[in-house]
Amino acid sequence: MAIALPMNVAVGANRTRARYMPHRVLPGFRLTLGFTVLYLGLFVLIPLSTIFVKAGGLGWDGFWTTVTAPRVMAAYRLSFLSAFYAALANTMFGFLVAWVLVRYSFPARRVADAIVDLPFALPTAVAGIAFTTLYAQNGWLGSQLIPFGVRVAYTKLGIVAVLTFIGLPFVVRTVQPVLENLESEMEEVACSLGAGRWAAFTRVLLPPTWPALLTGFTLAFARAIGEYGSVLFIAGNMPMRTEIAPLLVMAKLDQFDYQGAAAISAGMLIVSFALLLAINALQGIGRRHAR
Amino acid sequence: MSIEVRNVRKTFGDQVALQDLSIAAPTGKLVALLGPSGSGKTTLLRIIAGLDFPDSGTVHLHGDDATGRRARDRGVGFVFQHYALFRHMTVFENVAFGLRVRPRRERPSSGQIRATVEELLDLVQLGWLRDRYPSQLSGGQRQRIALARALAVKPRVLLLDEPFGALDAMVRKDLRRWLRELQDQLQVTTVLVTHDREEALEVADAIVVMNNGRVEQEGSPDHLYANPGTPFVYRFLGGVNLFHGRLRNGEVDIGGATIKAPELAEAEDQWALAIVRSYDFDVTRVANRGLEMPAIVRHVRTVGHVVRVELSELSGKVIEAELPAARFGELALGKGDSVFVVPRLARVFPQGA
Repeated sequence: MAIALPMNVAVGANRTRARYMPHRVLPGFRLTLGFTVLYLGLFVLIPLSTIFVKAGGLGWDGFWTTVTAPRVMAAYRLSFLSAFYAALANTMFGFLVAWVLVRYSFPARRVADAIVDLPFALPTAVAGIAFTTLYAQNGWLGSQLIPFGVRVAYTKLGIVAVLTFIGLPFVVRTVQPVLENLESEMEEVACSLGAGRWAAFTRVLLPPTWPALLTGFTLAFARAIGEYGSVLFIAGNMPMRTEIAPLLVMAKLDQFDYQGAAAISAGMLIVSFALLLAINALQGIGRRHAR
Repeated sequence: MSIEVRNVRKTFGDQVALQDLSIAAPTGKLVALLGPSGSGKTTLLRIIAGLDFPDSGTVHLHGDDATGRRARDRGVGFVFQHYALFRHMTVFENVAFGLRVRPRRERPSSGQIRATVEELLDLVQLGWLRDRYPSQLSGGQRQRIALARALAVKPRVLLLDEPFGALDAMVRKDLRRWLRELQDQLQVTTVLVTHDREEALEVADAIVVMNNGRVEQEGSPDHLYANPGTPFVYRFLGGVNLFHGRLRNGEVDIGGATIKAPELAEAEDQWALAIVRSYDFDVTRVANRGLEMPAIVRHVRTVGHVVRVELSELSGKVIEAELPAARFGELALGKGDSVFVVPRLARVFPQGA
């Protein structure tokens, strides 16, 4: 009987706990959630909120006039569009690269696999300078393109090119594990059932892969929106034409217009956040349909 | 002949998978490719399907040379060991796949597709699972769906790569009986790859035993079982004991006993391999003919109507004998008993000087 009492107490305690949350096998839910909130707060939310506080100093009208100024609107447009095109290019080519790395074994496969990560390791300014040198009118590649009327350095195309470079690893790395999980037998079965390459791709390969593709796209897109260092060198930074929003922020800071810089940043944050939310929602739909 | 493979050779790097191998599968029959892993049987199956291509040699389907034809144009149904069902599609969509990807002119209407799929699902007795996803099915169900999917395109040849290899023993037995019935009903030429001799013996019309990328022996299950042509086939069909000894005057001296091989009476003195199936042994308490080996009983295991007795000969060599339960009862053998083992029937393969 001596044992019964503590046991009852324990059961009682469990019952109280069960009211707040069901007992779980996985440990430390409260601790990890607490840490998550703290971490997001300290490293993301608080720093970002200072931007809004600073921008708030302008008042609503001030904020609105700042962000809707033609030069700012042009910069926003350029930033989001180039980031979108770069992410799109990365999605297509990243998928191809991942597929080749997963499906085939060739002599330099490991080397190729390692090269994919290089854009992460390189200071982006270095990438920008390298691209500018290479694609300038007298550059090694740029001079080859001039006869075709294609200019890369100091144009929007150049911006998209460097943004593609810095975002390359995202899609490859998100899609690779998914493809590794899909047996090549599935593609072979599709062939023996009479599917052509296109049908095998769209009906067998793409449906299970597209949530990962979308994740890769989102990461590459988000990364490209905020990119500054590499674009600085290749864009030429002509207002209204090749000036991206982060550059404009830096320009405002140089003129000690802190509130204006904060307002432009806040505008970028709001649009980015809305876009990321939308993509996440899209992904939720995808997950529900493609098991 | 529905399938004829002629002198096919295939290498992977410096590894030879198939060495100038030829086989044929008669129309409407079920042929089993039997062999240990690494014997090249799966490679051969993939070459027939057009999923791999031979270095030399040809593949003929229904009399036409199909060696260079793409997999999608071969009219071949392929079933993988691990099913390879499309995870993101329902059972219904999986089976319908082959019909939906046809070029528009040849594609059946959606009503026809529905009818065909329903019919196939009934055939594999899984109509009630039509809206499930593969992850919600058991292994046996998945394999039946994979088979239905392959049959949907009305293949003239069905290729099964270890189709029951990933399933547990009970399901495997049920499924192979079911497959045999299905094959009788559909009469589609089928090649089944397996390393399970029981499966091959039970299901196939003809068996091709493969070893090291070559055909070791082929024939009907009965013929093969009664007359294994080589020591490898003997060993692979299982339940055998091997004795090495000197062949002299039509007798093999295997140390302690001799095995008669009258058919080799004229052969020169040489080493030989004598093979005795475990049910071709008798065990006695007393020696009477001078042909028996003294041995000690190590283990006794009753398996249904037969009793498996593991004995060790004086040299320590282990002999496995299988006695009818009645005979075992007469002898009343126990662990540790000293007995004599008599090979009643043996097959002797001369191995040269």
